[in-house]
Amino acid sequence: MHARPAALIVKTASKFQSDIHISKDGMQVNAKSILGVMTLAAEFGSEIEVIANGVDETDAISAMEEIIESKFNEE
Amino acid sequence: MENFAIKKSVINNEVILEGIPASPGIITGPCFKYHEISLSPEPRIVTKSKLEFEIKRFRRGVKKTLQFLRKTIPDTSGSYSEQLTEILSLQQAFLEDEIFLKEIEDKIKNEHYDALYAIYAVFQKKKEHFLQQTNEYFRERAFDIQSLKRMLIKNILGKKIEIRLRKPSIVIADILSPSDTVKLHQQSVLGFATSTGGKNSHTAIVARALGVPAVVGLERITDLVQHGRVIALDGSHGRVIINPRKETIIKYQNQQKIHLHLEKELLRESSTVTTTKEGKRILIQANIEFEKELTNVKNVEADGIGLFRTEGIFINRETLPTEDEQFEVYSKIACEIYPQKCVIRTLDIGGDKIMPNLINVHEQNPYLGWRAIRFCLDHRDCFVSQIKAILRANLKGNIQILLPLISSLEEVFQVRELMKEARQILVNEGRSFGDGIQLGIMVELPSVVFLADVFAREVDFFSIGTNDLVQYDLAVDRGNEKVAYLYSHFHPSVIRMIKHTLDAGNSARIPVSMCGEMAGDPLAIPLLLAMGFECISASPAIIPEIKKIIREVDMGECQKLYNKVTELKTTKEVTALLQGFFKEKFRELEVL
Repeated sequence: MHARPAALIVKTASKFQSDIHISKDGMQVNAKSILGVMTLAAEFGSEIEVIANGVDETDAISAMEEIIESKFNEE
Repeated sequence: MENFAIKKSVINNEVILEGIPASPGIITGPCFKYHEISLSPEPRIVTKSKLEFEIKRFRRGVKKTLQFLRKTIPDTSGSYSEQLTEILSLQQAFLEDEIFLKEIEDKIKNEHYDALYAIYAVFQKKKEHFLQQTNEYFRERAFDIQSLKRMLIKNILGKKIEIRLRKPSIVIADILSPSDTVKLHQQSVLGFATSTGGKNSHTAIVARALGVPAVVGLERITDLVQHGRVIALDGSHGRVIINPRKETIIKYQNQQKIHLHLEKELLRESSTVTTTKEGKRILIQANIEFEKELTNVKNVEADGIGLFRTEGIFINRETLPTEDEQFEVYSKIACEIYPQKCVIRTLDIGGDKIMPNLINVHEQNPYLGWRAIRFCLDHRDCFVSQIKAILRANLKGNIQILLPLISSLEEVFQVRELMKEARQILVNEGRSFGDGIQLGIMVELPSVVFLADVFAREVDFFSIGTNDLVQYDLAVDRGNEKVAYLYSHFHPSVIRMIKHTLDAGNSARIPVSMCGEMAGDPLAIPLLLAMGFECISASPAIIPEIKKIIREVDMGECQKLYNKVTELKTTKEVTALLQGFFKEKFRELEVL
């Protein structure tokens, strides 16, 4: 995903204490790192997976899901 | 001794380098060779006691670079393109990314490398990763990483980042990153010449923003020029002359003077209504793709917009533009240009370009494939929303719709159906819109040329798109350097096709204009006038020159020239004849 949506994802992930990772095509990156998220080179239509681990993992997953879906479905 | 003689003779020889014209204009002056200090540090292992120091050194470099970026970013907004601001902001975000910084710190801590090598190694890995991406956007990020690495290393070494010119100079470099160039506008840069880069590289963007000439893609230029020596640079033709002889310098200086004078004069004269010598009115419209080009359209006082390409709204983004977003752009342009007309061309692009990941088509032959109107008719929602946006923007009634790549009549009928549908939806939604919109087609395929009389009864106007017409007529991909020499709009068959289309349009009493590159080719103008064109559309930059040519010819001489052309059998003969005419009549325009 391009710089702006990537920044938004990092911002959202950083609100949580849990470790949050995103993976695409077998590559996994820290969702709190903008450079990491950019290196996924995810584009509109890419399938990505979010993995959270920590005290607020459930909230983290749903917040991440929401931001990713809304970012990609916004038309 | 022998070596000396050889060297001397090389230095005294004029060398002409051909590159890509990136920003127009002519200049001579001393060159400033931008030395790229060697920034590939050797792997250096430090003792454990020094690790803390190396980490501090690294952090200090980060801090300093961030300070520079934070200070520079506000300077770039407004005076430069948004693109540049975006790049610098992204570089700032990278340096604020603690997880990334930690990666470099770990390299120092765990592998005991010094700060420079740790930075180099980690950045290099990221850069290579981006370079491997298939998506151009991500591939380009490799350059951001590279220039960020350079800034960081220079800051740690205490080298100055900014280029400081002692006197007005032409800047020579392999590559100039945005951070190298942002500060240059406060200095006296005469021009740019780089060994890498394309028409839209950072250097090209900055040069055009500064209004100085630039040539990019000049192989070996950094090896061939000497710091401080005078060179001549022609940004309009993409040429650099190294070790120019005295006569060459004088020639270029004269051209530069004429160029400046001529540009000013042409622009001033551009404000007058364009007629041939005997007073035949010719409309000169503008081709644009972006809203911000409206200023240029107004500067050259074009007679409206003959081609608004809508691709710019669709590409380089994550999602499709909404109807409202499109409406805003179309209506702004239509209002600003009112009472003149604005011809909006519906999306003219392959599906893979606008939705690279949704549509996974690998076409064997994309030029004969799923693009333009074919793609739109398969994506009705996308097409209907574009039509709706255009209809809504047509409140003043000065918009016309132009369809690209039409090959058969059924496509026109299908579009008419979809337009009906779009109107009905708008009525149901209770939205106001301007009805009675004219519908025209691009004539760019031989099939339409031969059936021009049939099409002329079904559409409201024709616009001849010469770029595709030539490509499909001669079966030449102009991007393929092995066959590009075959591409010419002066091929006798192309000229006949154009005349045939024009005649068919005239018999059916529908307007025929031309919006391809041929309409912006000074050599072609007398020919087009003789054929009977009363309206052509070209890019704003060339319009002042086109207007001047029209003002200075009379229909009689154009007709004579055209008659001669119709007797010729090859592209070469036609081109030579037109060049001869032009040279004789417009000697003073040749420098442009």
